[in-house]
Amino acid sequence: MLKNQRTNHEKTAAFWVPPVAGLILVLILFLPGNAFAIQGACYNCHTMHNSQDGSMAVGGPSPKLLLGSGCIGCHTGTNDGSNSIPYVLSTGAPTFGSNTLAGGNFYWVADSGGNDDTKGHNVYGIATQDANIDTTEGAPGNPNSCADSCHVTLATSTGACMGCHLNPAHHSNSSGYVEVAPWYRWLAKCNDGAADSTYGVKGIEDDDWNYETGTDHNEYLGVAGGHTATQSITNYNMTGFCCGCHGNFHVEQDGGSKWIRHPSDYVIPNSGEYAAAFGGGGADSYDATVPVARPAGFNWAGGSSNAVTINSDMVMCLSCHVAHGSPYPDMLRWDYDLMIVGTEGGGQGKGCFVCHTQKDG
Amino acid sequence: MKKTILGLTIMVVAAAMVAAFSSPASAAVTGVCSDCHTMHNSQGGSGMEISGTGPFSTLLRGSCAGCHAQGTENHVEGSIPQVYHTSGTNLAGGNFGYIDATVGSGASDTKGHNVICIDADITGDANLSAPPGDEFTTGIASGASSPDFTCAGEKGCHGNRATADEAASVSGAHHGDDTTIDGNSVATSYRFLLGVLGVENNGANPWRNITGGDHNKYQGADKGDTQDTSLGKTNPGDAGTISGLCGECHGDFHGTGVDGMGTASGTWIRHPTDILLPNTVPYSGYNPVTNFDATVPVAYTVPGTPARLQAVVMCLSCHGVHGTDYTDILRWDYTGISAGGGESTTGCFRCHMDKD
Repeated sequence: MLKNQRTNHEKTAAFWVPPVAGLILVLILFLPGNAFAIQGACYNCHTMHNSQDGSMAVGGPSPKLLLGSGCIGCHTGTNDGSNSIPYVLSTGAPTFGSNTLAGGNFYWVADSGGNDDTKGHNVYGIATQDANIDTTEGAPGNPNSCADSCHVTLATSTGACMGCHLNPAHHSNSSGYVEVAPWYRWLAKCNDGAADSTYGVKGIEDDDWNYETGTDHNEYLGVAGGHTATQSITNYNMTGFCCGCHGNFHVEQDGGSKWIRHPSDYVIPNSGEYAAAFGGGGADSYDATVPVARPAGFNWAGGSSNAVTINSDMVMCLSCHVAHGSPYPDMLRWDYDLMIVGTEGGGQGKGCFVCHTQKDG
Repeated sequence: MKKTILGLTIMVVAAAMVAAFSSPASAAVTGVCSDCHTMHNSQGGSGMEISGTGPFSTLLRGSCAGCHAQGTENHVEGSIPQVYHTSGTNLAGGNFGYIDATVGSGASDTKGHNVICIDADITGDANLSAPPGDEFTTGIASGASSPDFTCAGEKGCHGNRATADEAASVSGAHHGDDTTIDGNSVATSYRFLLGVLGVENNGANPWRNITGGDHNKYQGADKGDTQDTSLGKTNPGDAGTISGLCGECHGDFHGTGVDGMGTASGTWIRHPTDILLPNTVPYSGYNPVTNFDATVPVAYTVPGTPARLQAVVMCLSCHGVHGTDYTDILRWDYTGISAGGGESTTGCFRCHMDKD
C-alpha cells in the first residue's frame, strides 16, 4: 500500500476526528456553567461556628456562615494583584488607579477613611447617610417611587451592597461574557427588593476586576439612545442599571438644539472633535481611565478589546464616574478642577479631554 | 399429613431463629470476670492493674483509660474497645492518640478532646480554658491550668453527669441489659451517653463505622429551618439526639436569638445540626442509606429504620469525638476543602456538591 493510500478506518477517523475534536474544544471553552465560580479554601470565607480557640470570631456570627460581618467583612483589604477576594474598601488610603479595582474604592467616602460624602456611594456599613443628600431627596435623579428602599439610600440595611449587587452568587458565578442571571457582577433588576432573573446587566467580567487593565479589562454593554431616550435595565446595559436610581439625569438630555445634560450611552460621533477621541480610536486606543460601552454587535465572545471604535462605542455613566468611590468629588475618575480648557497641566489629554479633544491644551 | 407437620415445624423453627437473631444485639459485657476485675488487686505478690495504680473502684483492674486506652497496637484489646492505640483502624469515635502523636501526623491539642486521664501526655488544651460554646457553664476546666475533663462523671461525656465520680457514674452500665436503647438509664443509653438514643453497631465490626451497612446509627431530629432554641436544653434534648449531647457543652454554637443558628432562608449564621439533609439538589447527591460514607455519617430521625428522607445532619457528620488527625477534630482536612477545585465528593462536598 502506498503511503498516501489510507484504510477505510483511517479515512473515517480523518473525517470525524477534526470536527469532534473541534466540538470538544468548543464545549471546553464556551460551555456555560460555573467553571469559573469562586475557588479556594472554604475557610478563607466561612466559619462553621464563628468560634476559634474558645473565642467568638470578631463581628460575627454572620449570614451564610461568613467570616466577615457583611459583604465588607470579606471585601476589605489592599489589592496587590494576588488577592483572590476583590477588595473594595481599604483601611488605608489606596492609590487610585493603581491598587484600586474597576469600581474604585470606598475608602474616600468611608466613615473610617476619608469620610467625604461626595467621593463615593454612602453604603451601609461603610458610610452613614450622605450629609448633602438626605433621604427626603433620595438618590439624585431617582425616577422610581419605591419608598424606603435602596432607590432612596444605600446607607441603611435595606439598601447596602445588595442594593446594587442584588444577586450575589459566589459559587455559581461565571466569568468572561455574562449575559444571563446572576448577571454581570450580580447587577440585577430589582423587583420589590428581590433580584430579577429576566433583566440584569450584560458585560465581560475581568478576572482581576481591572487591577490590571493593559491586557484585559471589563467590558460593558451599551445601548445607544437618541437625544431624549430614557434608559432602563430592561436594555441590559450598565447605564440602564445606573438609571434605576439616577434615571432622571437622562430623560431630558436634549433641550432642543443643545444638550442640557451630558448624554450617556450615546455613540461617540465620528465628527467634530470626537473624531479624534481616543486618538481617533483603533488598536490600543482603549483608555481604562475613560472606559466606553460596547454595542450589542461587539465581539463579546472574543473577550475584552484594547481598541475603541469611534461611531460605534458609547460614552456611558462609568466613562466619567466610578461606582464605589474615588478620591475625587462626584465619584469622578479624575479631578474636575484640573479640567481646564487649553491647559497644558496635569489635566492635559485626560478626563474630559479624551473625548473633548478640541478643548484640550 | 406428616409432610405438613414437618413443613410447619421447619417454618416455625426458622421463624423462631430469625426472631432470635434479628433482635437488637446487646452490648453487655461478656467474658471471664478476671479480664476486668481483681478481688484483692494482688496476684503472685504483684498488683493486677492493666495500667495505672490500683486498686480501682468496683474492683476493676483499671480506670476508664486503664481498660480502654491501653496504648497497644490493637483497636480492640481482647474484647475491650480501645480509644487510644497505635492501630491504623479506628473505632467510630476516633483515637485520642492523635493529640499526643501516638499516631498521626503530629501532636496537637486541636485534634481531640483533651481528656486528662487518657495518658500523661494528654494534658489541658493549650488553646481553651473551657468548652467552646459552653452555654450551660459546665464548670469543666479544659485549659492548661488544672484541667479536669474526664471520660465520665460530672465533667465527662459518658455516664450520669449528676454523679461526680467517674466509675460511679457508669456503675452497672457494662453489665446492664441494653437490648433496648431507650435512654432511660446509663446502661440503656447509646454508648452510655445518658439520654442519647441510637443503634449501636454491635455486629461483625463492633464500635466501628464502616462504609456499607456496618455502622452505628445515630439519633437525630428535625429541628426545622429556624433553630432559635438550643438543642441541649435538657439532657440531652427531648429527642435524645447525639447532637443534643454535644450541645450540653457546646450549646452556644447553636444558641438563641441573634447568636443562634439563623434560618434556612439564606441566613444561616452557623452551620445547622439536627436538621434534615435536604433531598434536593445539591444535597440529594448523597444518599447515606444506599451509599453510606463513613467519613460523613448522618443521623436519622428513626435510626432503627434509616430512610433518606429522614437523614439528619449532626455534629458527628463533620467531627470525630475522641480524636482525629485533623484540626478541630474534623473528619477531614479543612485546609484541603477548596471550592471550585474539581470533582471532589469528600468532606464538605459530600453534601455541598455544587461548591466543588
